[in-house]
Amino acid sequence: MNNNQLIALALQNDFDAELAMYDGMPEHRFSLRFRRRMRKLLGGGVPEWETKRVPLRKAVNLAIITVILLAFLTGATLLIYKMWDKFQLHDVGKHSFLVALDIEGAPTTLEDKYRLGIDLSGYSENVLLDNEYEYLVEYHEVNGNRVLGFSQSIKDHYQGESCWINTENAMVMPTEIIVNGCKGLTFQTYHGINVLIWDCGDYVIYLSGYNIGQDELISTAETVQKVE
Amino acid sequence: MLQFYLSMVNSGEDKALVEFLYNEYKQLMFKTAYAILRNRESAEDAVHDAFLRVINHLSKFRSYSCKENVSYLVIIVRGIALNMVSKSNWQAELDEETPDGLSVEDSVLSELAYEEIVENIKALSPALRDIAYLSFVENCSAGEISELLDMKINTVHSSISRARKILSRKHTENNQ
Repeated sequence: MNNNQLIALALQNDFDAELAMYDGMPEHRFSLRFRRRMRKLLGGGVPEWETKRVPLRKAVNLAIITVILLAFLTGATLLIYKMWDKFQLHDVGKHSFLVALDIEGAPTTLEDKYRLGIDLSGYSENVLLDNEYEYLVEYHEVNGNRVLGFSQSIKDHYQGESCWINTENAMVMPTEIIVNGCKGLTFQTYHGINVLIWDCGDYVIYLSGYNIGQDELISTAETVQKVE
Repeated sequence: MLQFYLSMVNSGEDKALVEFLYNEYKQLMFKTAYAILRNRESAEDAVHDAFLRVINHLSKFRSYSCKENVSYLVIIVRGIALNMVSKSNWQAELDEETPDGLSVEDSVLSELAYEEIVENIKALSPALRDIAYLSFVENCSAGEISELLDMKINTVHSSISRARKILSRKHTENNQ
């Protein structure tokens, strides 16, 4: 292998690792303005449902009816994939959307802060989101190839079809897990990213690890605590 | 201008391709832009602008494989996002002269270890990394990169040269 081929291989691996990290991030809900602009740009090619703002409750009902109808028509292969105490996971082929169940009385804005309690001195911090609904941060190991993703979000964020997670060809399919006495789920993406999502009472916490084993990730999850 | 772009997506085949790219990759493109801009609206603007550029170069996307399309979309939207952060800084970074003044031919081009290259990649700016990716991995010509990233061809040439030099450094040089 010559130098150019080695460089190409290294660049390709670097690029793939970056894309893999994006897989572990929660899906974005595009604004109405963006969807309208894209609809114009594509000459009306984007389906109508993409551009209309549907009330949340109506969207949830529509989604449930659609899933049931499709399941009926296709021989019940597209039903709710899993249902636990705190979450429902709907498998729709390439991805799944996650719905938090226990939202009664949950805060609608981030009133308390939850953060990782481990020593992160060897990591660089990259805050991707910090608003009243969600806090999302990535920690990249300075002298290594490990990446931790952490997010705290309100439970309303996990309603309807707004929160998609990448379970396509997952190496470990979602299973229930208990973190600090709180129920949640864990899975490993196709790219080997371990993911933990749990309901800490008032909020949903999301933790992902690239090049971090599941046991270590669970230990890390157990350090998550409310901070002042 | 919008009408001009729209007129280019008139054929059903083109429309289907753009729709496919939009539906499949808008999330990935948004996340890429957001990682740089850290603002939802700006990231959405970057995705929108990226699609304008995609439509402008649609003929290229028709012949690419899915994997290539992903790479190009990510690189295009990242280029736009970086430009939005600071066009002058980014351009200045690309135009910057190489510090040691050595030509590519003078740099060490043999017996490079993979681990050294991986270390060297960390020394590349995001913009240079993308140009290197297009050049080394996708084998794009300077002209093609210039079109995709909306840059001057001379800047692309010098960027490829600079990226190659950084990537080819021996570890001992880095540590000096």
